[in-house]
Amino acid sequence: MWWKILLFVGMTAMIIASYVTPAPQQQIGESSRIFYHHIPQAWICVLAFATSMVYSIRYLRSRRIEFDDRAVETARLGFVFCLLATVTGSIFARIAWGSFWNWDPRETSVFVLLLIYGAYFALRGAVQEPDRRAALSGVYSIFAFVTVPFLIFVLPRIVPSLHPDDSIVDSSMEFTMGPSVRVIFFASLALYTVLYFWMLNLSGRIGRLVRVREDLES
Amino acid sequence: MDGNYAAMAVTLVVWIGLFFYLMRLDNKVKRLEEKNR
Amino acid sequence: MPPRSTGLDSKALAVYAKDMRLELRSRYALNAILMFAITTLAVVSFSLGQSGLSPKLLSALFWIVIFFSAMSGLAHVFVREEETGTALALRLMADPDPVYIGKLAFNFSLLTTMAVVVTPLFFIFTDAPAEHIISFLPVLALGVIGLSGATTLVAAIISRASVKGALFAVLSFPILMPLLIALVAATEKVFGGSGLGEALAELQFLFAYAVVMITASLLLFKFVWQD
Repeated sequence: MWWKILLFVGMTAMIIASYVTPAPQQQIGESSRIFYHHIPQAWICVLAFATSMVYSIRYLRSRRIEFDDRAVETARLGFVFCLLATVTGSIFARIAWGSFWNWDPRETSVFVLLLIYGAYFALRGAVQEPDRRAALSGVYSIFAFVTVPFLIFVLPRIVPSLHPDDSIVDSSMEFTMGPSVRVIFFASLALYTVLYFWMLNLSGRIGRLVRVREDLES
Repeated sequence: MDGNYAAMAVTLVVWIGLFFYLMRLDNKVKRLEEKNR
Repeated sequence: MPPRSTGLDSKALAVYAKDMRLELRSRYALNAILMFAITTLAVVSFSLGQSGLSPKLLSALFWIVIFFSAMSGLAHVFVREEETGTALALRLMADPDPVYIGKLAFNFSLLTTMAVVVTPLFFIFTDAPAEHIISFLPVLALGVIGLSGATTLVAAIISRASVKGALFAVLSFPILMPLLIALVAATEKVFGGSGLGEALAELQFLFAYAVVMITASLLLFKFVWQD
């Protein structure tokens, strides 16, 4: 129980602090405050995807359908956070760079993550038989996750010249992060992670309840 | 500066709404789990 | 049906030879892929005119043509097995690994054939700088390897789904996105005349991508192939 109170108080305090402290990046100004939410959302998007992949591996190893249930639940949460990260990022891009979409490497990678999630759900919709659906979508999720390191770590290194604007994000993120900015940012990261695990826990318990119900009916 | 406070208010409303929704969901799930046991 | 032999190579070779024989008889996949490529190429060339296209535009067009043509034919090698009901027999005859390698080799041959036909046509139709064709070849080869390496597993996945439709392209695109970006970047440099040395980072990327995707496919294929 105590951690829920902590989460509530912490997140509320973080939100207030993120608006009353000076903007994290002076050049961009007030709109740079979106980093406090945008980056944690993007992080949860990747974390949820990784969790989904771990559950997929466990499913393929054990063939127990509840692991597949967990994999879908975390994928659904990840999709929502991915959508949030895309929308907040796009709004920010409009203000800072003048257009909603610039195809800088980071925008590309979040877009591809969104596509992967979409393809994952499309695949699940296309297979009726539960065991086969679990196996096929599990394999796809693992296979797709293998490409993510290419997107996140390698791609920004080979196509930097196309998007010089990206350096603004980098400098504000990695070099000019002052002490108060750092505290708020990492607090936000931690709080978002706790929130994600709470939501995951809830959807897992709901999933189990649904399974019990189905077993009773059949 | 006023814009900041408006944005803060919106963010807080969204967060508090989400928190209480999750709390309610949590309690409901707990009740159902106990009933199943 | 291929005879049951001992080594991995000979089994994979048997699967490959069987698919090749079937393909040469019907030429279904090859026709689809070639017609698609030539039609797209003609439309592109017709609507954009021949000269004055920038290296950036040329490289993007080239890989768009290749990507969509690949999507039209590469799934066939697995879908045919499921549709004609020969998948079960193949499953009993051979282990997953040789089946995967055989199918990968088949898709690779298919794409190579298409590339051999389409690339000269592309240079003719769009007036691309033909003097750079030699340094373009390594990029093309790595692209073909990466494309077939990443899509063969996806083809296996969709052949087992009940609704196939446009699923192949939907599932393949996000996986191929890093590959396509790197390919377009490398091709742009080559067409721009800056030589292969400039595109070294992209070439390394393409190589690493192909190795990782084929390894992952080998590890995962048995979960798709067996029930």
